Amino acid sequence: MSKTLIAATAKPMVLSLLLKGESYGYRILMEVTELSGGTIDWSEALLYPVLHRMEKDGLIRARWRMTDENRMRKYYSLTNAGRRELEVEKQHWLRIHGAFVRLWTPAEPVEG
Amino acid sequence: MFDLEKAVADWRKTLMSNPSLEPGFIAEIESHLRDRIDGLVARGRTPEQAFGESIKILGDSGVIGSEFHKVYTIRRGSRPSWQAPRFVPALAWNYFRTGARAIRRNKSFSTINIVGLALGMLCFLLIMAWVRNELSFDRFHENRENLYMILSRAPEGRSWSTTTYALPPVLGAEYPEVVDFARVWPWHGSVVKKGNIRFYEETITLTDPGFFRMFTFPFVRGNPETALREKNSLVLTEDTARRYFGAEDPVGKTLYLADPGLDFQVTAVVKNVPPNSSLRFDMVTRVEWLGEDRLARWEEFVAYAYVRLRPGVSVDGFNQKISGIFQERINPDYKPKPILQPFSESYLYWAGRPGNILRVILFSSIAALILLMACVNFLNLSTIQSAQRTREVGLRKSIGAGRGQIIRQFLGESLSTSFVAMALAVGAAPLLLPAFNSLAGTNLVLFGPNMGGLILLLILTASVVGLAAGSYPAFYLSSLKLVQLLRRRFTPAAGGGVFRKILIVIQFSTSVALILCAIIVARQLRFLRAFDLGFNRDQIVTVYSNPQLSTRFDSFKEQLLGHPGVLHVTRAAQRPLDVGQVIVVDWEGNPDPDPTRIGYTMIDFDFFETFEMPIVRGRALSAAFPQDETESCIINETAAKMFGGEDPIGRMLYWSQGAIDPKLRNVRIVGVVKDFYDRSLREGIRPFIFRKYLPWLQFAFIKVDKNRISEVLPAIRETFEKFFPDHLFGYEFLDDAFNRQYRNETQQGRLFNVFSLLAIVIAALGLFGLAAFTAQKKIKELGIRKVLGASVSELVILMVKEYLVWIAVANAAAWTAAFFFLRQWLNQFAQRVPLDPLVFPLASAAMLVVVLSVVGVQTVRAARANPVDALRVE
Repeated sequence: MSKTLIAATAKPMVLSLLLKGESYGYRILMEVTELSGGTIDWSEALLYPVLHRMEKDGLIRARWRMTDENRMRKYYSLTNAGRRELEVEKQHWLRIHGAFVRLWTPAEPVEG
Repeated sequence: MFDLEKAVADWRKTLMSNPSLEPGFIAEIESHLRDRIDGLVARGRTPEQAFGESIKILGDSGVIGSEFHKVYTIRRGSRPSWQAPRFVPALAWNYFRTGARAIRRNKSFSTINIVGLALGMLCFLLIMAWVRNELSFDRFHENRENLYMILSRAPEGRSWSTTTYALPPVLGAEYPEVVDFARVWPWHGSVVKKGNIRFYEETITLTDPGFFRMFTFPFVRGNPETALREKNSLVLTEDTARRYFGAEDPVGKTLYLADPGLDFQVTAVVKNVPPNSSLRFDMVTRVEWLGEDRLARWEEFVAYAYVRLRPGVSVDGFNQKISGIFQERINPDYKPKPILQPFSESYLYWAGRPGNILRVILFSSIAALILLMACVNFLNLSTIQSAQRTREVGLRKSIGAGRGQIIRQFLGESLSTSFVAMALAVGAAPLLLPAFNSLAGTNLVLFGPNMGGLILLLILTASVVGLAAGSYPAFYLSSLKLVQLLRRRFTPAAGGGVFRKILIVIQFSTSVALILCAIIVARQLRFLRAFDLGFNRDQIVTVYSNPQLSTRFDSFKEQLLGHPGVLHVTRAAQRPLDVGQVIVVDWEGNPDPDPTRIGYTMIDFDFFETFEMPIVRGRALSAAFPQDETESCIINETAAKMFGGEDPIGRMLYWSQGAIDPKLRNVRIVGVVKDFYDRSLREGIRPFIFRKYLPWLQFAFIKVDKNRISEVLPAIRETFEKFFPDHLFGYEFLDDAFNRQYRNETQQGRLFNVFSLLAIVIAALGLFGLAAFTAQKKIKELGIRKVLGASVSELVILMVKEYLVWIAVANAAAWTAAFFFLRQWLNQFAQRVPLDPLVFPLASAAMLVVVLSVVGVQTVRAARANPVDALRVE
């Protein structure tokens, strides 16, 4: 998969994952790999800058929290702006998706 | 035992060295790492394996760092603040100033350096302009692919560039492969008149109508089809037309040619013949003026002839097809065969042999060698010079210059220097071109078409030389540690010794070889000029003939001889210098079944007296014997040998030449003249025969008293004008015609002088650099030796000794190369100077003197210095 496509999908993907509740970098990485059956393999150098940029843009919020293993971990969660952004992104991606589906469905024979 | 905590702590430290990673980011990445390790351990890895794999996945801290950095900067792709900029505009002026200072500090050194390179490039440019001109000869014809010159080849492999008059029309008429043919013959000169405008035209060119259809000589007026339709058609070049007609349109007008004494009609005007054409003409008319009889001859190999083949015809196949044509037409035992040579090659490979091409190869290699020498010297001198700038590099580094900046600074500086040299060369070339042209006798233009490639080559050379010259400070100095750079004096590391020695071998051998060539060529030319040709060519005024001259010659001669400054007057068909023609003679009892070929010319009385050619047996031709008018002849000693031991006097010869009256073909030998050279000294002596035959006499020769030349010339002119008021008086000293025969060699000699001088200058520059380098490197050694009592001369010997072996090698190479070249060159002359073995050491000694003085000056300078200064270095 091309680097630009991965970069373009990273933001809506992260937003969608956070919709289920707060999460942290490593888990997001694992979930993406799992969701795609291992075909999407994000690197840390991609993920963390994306997280930081979204945080800077106010789409997500971060906080350090003590884990059960007794170490500090940074958790990210959606802000309201993030939810709205996700709706917009969702519309975009669904439209693109719809267009491709129509494009790639074999045309039915016209009757008469 | 693997300690995970310690490993993680170490890893964290490497992250902390990256300026774009803030502690917060690092904590986050660390927590991520631990998550990943936990995940891997949960899947059964040991902590050590898990750590290893995880940091591998996380990758290089720099990558993460610059990705983080992008998030927090506004402009994409901007430079992180902790990286030095690629180029600081504020420093540009400083670079320029320090560069200029470095040049100023070593003014002479730098000047030599730049001028040396410029000189090499200049030399290269000029020689290559000449080479380009040579290679462009005859390439401008549109049909060049299908144009061929007809050569003749004898079975023993000898070939010559002429054929018979009869062959080309037969090829044109009977062979469908031949589209057009043209025979070209330089006819005699003639005075040409239009009203009161008269000029002497040296050559009227005769040819066939196919000439202008085959060759591309653009028409200004008229066209190739009608240009030579009639026998008295005349085609002029633009310059010639302007001489007679000014701005008028010449087409349809007539010009009077005093010889043959008829009006010719101008049918066309063509553009002037380009300088790179081997076919040259001013006035062209039909070849039929030679006479039908002559044109029908199959055995006279004197015509230059060309054919144009149909496109796609294989020339080898055609050569095969016509190879038996002489045997068919003349007799089955006849030996020569015609052979076609591509016309575009005929200039470089005259008569199928490498001719001018050898000069082209020779001079291009000299050009390449000189350029190479200049480049290598530039490189070497620049390196030495920049070795003095270690402290500058040190200072720049210590106040924060990155290595990249220093590399760019020095490469930029050396590139600008080499381009300045190139600009000097390119700028000086047009200024020096006229001098070069007069020296080489050429008419070169520097910036003609296809010059682009040459300029590109120079730019490439300048770039490569510039980069190479700057690479020492740029890459080596910039890589050194600050401590090394800031030491009081930095001596460039030893090494590169082999390189420097090769340098010496190349420069020394090139110079010695060129000196040798210059000496031998000069000697040979002097030898040729002083050579006794068997006749005296001094103080002989050659006057061109005219039709009236033959009718009134006797009274003209009488009148001339009345002047005290005129010693002898005679006439001949050719100058004795360039006879060339042969006829076939036979005699009773000739043991050879083939008739004998023999050189000949037609003369008048007093010929042998005028040229001071001694008669060794019998007598010269004289008016006292009436039979001398028609049937007496004189042969030379070589011809006399054909009769074995018998006395040739009184023998009858059969002169088998179709062009002369059949009644005159039996001649009796009345005298034997001493052997002489009838052609240039490239040819040897051959059998030769003279007879009197008035119709063909073209030149009058007047031997004058050398003390009265200034008064006798006007007197001759006056007499001439009185006798022949319709004709122009034109004359030439025979000696000048002789020197003209060696124009190529004279030019070559002059070029060798210039090139060897240049090579010596450039080599001296190179040696100067080397000596400076060595002296600098050995400054401490010299200091210590001096303290211990060595004298300056001992030190010089010490320095030179190192190079002596290599100079010996270079000498061997130079001697071998020069020996083979010179032997080849001298072989083209029948008479030549010996390759004097003394010249070889002489040339080397001359070069050695240059080396010693250059190295000596440097060493003396180093050795004279107070040893304290040298020894205080550290």
